[in-house]
Amino acid sequence: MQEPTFLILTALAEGARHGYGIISDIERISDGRTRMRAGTLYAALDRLQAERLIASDREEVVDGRLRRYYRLTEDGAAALAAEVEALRRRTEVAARRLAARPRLGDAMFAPLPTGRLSGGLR
Amino acid sequence: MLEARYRRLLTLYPAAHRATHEREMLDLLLSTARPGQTRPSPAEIADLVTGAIRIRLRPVISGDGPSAWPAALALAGFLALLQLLARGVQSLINIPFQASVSDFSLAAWSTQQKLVFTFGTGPYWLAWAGIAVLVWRGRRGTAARAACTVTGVQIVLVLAGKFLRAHDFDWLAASMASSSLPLALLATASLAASPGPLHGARLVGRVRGTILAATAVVLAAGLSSESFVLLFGHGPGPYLGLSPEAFFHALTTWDRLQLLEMSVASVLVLAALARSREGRRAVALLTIAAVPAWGLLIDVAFPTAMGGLASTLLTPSMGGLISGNGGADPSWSITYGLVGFALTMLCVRLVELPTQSRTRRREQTPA
Repeated sequence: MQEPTFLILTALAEGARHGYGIISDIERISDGRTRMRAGTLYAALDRLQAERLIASDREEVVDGRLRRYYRLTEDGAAALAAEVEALRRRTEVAARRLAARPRLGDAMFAPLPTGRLSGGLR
Repeated sequence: MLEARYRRLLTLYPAAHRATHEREMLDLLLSTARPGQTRPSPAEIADLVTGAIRIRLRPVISGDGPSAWPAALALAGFLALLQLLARGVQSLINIPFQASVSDFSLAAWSTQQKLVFTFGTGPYWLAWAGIAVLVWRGRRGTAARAACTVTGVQIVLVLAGKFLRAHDFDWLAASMASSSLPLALLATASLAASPGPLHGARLVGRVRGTILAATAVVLAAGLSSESFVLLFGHGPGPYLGLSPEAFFHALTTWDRLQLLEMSVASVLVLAALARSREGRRAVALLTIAAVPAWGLLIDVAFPTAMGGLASTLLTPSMGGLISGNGGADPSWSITYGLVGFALTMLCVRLVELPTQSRTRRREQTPA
């Protein structure tokens, strides 16, 4: 799953949102690192609707402007859950391997072989 | 002012998309605009243009749109890939003959010349076999990138052969410029701008696909140098002890047999595809590769000295197709291919005319 798809589905997992709401939420959940623009967002929304991962929820007119809300479908929730599970497995493997890796500090302070040390002192 | 400029950019989107999303996109664009902003920023323009291109290309690449062309390109791509694989098999069977040709040459060949003549096209066919495996395993993106690279290299080789005229390289350039170039272009276009050859294979169906694949391989083996040896008792090369007339006669008979086998293959492809709209368009696309191949074969099968009338009748205006090194001239090859495509599409339109008028009449008649 591509990052924009993952972020849009994550934004909609909390509830139905309109375009501006999705962009603001993505900026929040990515700690300000991802700022999605209208062209990218609507190309992704169009594709996700065609794939039936999201659906149009309701429309509102605020100050004469149309706001359409989108919601996650059952298929969308299942796809996001599968991606989260895959990410969790990968993260666990990475964490396990990092934990098993000898730390730089450990290597520096590991005791030297006795023979070599005594030879050096002599 | 800013709203009008955003609206102008949104006209790049398809009408159906604009009807559904224009107002909400405009709302989003105005909501995210900086205070005092009077024109869209370059980043916004690039983003909106890219979005419009993505939305316009999606039905073409997924094959979900109302147009029959994406499916037609997928079908043509499948058959072009099949033909490229069959040519690869033929090239493999021809290796012993290719290796023996230098023994009959009057001038001594260098090791480099022998290697280029025997194995020169090997990497090309291996690359297409690899691309076919990628397609089969569903890795269309990687296959498309590999096909673009291989076809790009082929075009460079063809152009180098056309303009540099390096002697050792002549034969290889002629092989690269042969009918495999239009086939490679079709297969590459199918991978890059349609649902792909695997989708084409699914559209053809298992039975018809197997028949077409088996025919391609049988024809490739049947048209190899080894079959020539079986039929005439000697290879299709210059042989000492054989009169020039006898050798020339054997070659012409062989070329006519090739023409016959190509006709059979064309009829089979037509029978397999002509029933559907996308199939008929796939036939038109395949004409781009078929016309130069036909032109080359007719030219050698009916040379002016033997059958001037047949040559004139069958190739009325194919001047320039045969290049100095005996291969097809790439620019003329593509030009004749496109003319063939236009004429075939004209025939397709004429065939579809009664069906279209019936549909239009039914739509106009109130229920």
